[in-house]
Amino acid sequence: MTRITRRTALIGAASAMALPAVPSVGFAAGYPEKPVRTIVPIAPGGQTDVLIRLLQLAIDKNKLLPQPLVIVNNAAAGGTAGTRLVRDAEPDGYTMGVFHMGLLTAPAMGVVDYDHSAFDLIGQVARTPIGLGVTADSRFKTIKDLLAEAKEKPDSVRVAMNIGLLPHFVPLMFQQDAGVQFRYVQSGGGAVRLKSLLGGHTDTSIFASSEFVLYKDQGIRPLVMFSESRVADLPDVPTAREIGLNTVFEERVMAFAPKGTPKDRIAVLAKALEASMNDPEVVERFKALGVERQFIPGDRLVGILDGLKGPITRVGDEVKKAQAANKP
Amino acid sequence: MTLAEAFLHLFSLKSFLIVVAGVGLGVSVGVLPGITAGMLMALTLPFTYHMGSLDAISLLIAMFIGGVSGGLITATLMRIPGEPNSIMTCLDGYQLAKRGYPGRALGLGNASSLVGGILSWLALVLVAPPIAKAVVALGPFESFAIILMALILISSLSEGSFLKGLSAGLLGMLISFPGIDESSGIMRLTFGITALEGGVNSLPVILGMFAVSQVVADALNIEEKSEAIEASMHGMFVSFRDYLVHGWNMLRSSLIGVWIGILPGVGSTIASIVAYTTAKNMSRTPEAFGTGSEEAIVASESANNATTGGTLIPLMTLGISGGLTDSILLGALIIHNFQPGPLLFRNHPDIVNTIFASHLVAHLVMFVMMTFGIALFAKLMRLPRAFILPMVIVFSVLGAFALNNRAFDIWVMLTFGLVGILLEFAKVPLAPFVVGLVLAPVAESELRAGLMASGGSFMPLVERPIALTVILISAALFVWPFYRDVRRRFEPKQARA
Amino acid sequence: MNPDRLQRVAEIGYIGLILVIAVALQLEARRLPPAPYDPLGPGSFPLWVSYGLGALAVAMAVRLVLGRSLGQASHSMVTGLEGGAGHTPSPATAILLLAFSVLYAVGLSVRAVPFVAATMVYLFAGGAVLGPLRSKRLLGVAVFAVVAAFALDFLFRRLFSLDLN
Repeated sequence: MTRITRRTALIGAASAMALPAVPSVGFAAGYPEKPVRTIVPIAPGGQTDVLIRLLQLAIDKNKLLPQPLVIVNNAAAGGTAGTRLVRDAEPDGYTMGVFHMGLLTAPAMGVVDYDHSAFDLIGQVARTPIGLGVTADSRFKTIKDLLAEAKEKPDSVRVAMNIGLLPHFVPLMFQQDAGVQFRYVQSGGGAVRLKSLLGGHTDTSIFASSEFVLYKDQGIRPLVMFSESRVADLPDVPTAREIGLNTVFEERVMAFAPKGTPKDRIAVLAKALEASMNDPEVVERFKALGVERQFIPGDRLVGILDGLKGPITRVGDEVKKAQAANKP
Repeated sequence: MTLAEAFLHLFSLKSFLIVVAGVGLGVSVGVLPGITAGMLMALTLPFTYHMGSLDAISLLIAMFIGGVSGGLITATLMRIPGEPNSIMTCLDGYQLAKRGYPGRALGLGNASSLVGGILSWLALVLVAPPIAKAVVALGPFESFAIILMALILISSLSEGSFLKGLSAGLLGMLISFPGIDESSGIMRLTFGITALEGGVNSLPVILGMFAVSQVVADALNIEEKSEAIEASMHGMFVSFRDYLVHGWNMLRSSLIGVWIGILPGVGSTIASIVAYTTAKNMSRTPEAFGTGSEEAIVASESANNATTGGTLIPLMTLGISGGLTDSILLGALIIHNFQPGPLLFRNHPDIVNTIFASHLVAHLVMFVMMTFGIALFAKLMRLPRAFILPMVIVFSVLGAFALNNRAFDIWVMLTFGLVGILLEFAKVPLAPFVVGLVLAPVAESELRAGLMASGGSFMPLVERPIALTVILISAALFVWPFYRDVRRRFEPKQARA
Repeated sequence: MNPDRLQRVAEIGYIGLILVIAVALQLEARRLPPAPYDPLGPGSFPLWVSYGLGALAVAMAVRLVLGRSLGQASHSMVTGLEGGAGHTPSPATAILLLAFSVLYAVGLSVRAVPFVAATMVYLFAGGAVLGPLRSKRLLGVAVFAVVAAFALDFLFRRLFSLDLN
């Protein structure tokens, strides 16, 4: 399924005129012959942006591709402008996107009408465990305390969130699994949620495992992690599974290409990305950022994301229910 | 590394050259309308990966400070804001230059930038941790009240025509609405246009209103022999007496700048407008504002430079960033393995002291560079206008585009060029528009966050002491211009009688 | 057109513009769904602004009809739009420059024209209209356009990798 927009048609026409002898698409030999436009729907300096730029440098340094990746940031519309750009691009292997789980949460919020299935996935390049935390002097000593109060007094435990993204969706999943009701307060990125907790304006929030390590001295305590098993950096923190709840969710950074990109070209990009993740500097930086270096190839990643679709849609419905209940 | 060692390190040849290069590039993009320091830093960020961490951060800080300062030159000599934060300087700087004192206008602006920078440096170095504590205590209701106080500025900026000024403020506010609503994640007011889903960024709007419209006006007057700026750069050096005369204004405007710098998402443009208005309201000669008032230049330029230190406080102590420049500094710190927060001060005194030292040294370098470099810039601006005016448009186009690599932002800029011309013909004041544009999104998201926390109750606005105090001050500020107008209208009659 | 008349026409245009905007805002904001968590929702602020704009537009219209002045900004932010003393204003030049700028934006948005070429043509055309059409001057403008276009291309497209053609 190729979308031919006016723009791509024009580009096609222009390049056909300029290069009469374009080799027919389908041969990876010689690919890529020009820089690969890498669209990052995040402002420069954000974690996803930093991660892909580290890989870009490693690809360059180790000559993993004959041509460089050129990073193009487009953070408009919560990242959906960027994913749309990738979706509508010519599937010739010269455009790819790199984004986080916003790829799946945006359609659940009703902001866009496409999800990961609108792309050919190249692979997952990073994964971050996340969990719920409170301040050191919080009245909640354990996750059981928190759930007990939320059950007894619905809509009293205030969650600092970032609407439409994981700090919003994961507490919602957790509340569904635990059968409780939190109160949600929009705040923003990790540092803003930290400030909200420290100032006592909210009670709990989602943080990445690396943030728990960093914020420890500021008195942020993890209560529960949403990983399959305990996180190496936080050996004392139980997982949701251990308290009998089935909330498992992690942040993932993924690379993807427009639907219909030739398989062999995707394979070239996937191989370069995977190899770049073994660069010693990447290893060191990812560790420092608290990010797990785990490459999952596109075909396996599809299965994982398809599996997450159900819980995410359920959460989206929960948001719609809250909206309906809020009707004046 | 102590602070003294950090200074010593900066004065080693390589590090010093890095600061000089950073300030030079920063001032240059500051001079270019459209290209902002944020863009320069975003584009430089990838190049810093392989630099030593301390040098990388010094370079970015130097660019940040150079960029905040450079806008003054274009504003004074061409009446086009080189950076959004110099729009208030356009008003009086250009008038003073046109009266034959370009050197005086630039010299005062430059001196005020330095003083603003140094005072904000003192705030950063001496009181960052206690200020950070205070910032944490401010909840959404308090933040809303503070933003409301700044929004009230619209009323004092509407002098001459209250109806027009207020409507311009509201018009500015509505520009911020289309796109994803930050508080609910719901797409709103896009009128079915996909490009509007990304919202309207304030930079192309300001570029259109102030740069494009001015270029059009200059093209209209292309026959005019421009002699004003031909005058000498005499007066670049500001005497000690000037510092005394303007001392209180510099101090007050710098405090305003530091305070506004601390509030995430508000930024140096608003700081300069607030300082300008405050200076005007407290001046003995408010009628001189807009006609080349020295006080006005001093207020605007000390405030916008003073935000630099203010911005670094929440950035370094909490890791909170509001604008593009601070996000990039934050990203750079993280890339170089320094996580901002109180821990930064304990675990990485080297980077903390390097930031402190670079902030001050960059200001000093900026001051020297501007003092001696302004003559060069002034020469450049004497190039034929047939070269300069189309270039200004090209830079504005590139600046708008570079924000998100979207052609849509170019169209926004051109559209607001036309809107700016219409508003100017209708004699609608433009400053309230900018205030509404920048502050409305912050005010809305803070109020709604507060309501989410309170379960829908507005009561905390009057129950929380800080919020209540600030709201009462806002109310007084709102009523003040009416009261003053009424009294003024009343007084001459008495005098005549 | 004399300045007073021009101001009056522009004022009527301005009032018309904000009325249209206020109505459009009303229609669009009323259709918005409520937010999941806060009582104001995405529509309240836009609605308040549209009420304010509507009220101000009506107030200004009434004043105009009654023949009273709306006042004017105490100082203007863009100078010279009304021309100035001692020279003839050239509206044709201003309009041409604006038109070229729009064409330049079109060229960049459809990505049909390479950035270097578009910029070169724009700088030349813009420079050409901003002065007498003498061959010596035009040559200077042309040289400037070529040099500047290549410099900008190197700086923004190569070095800073802006996503331009």
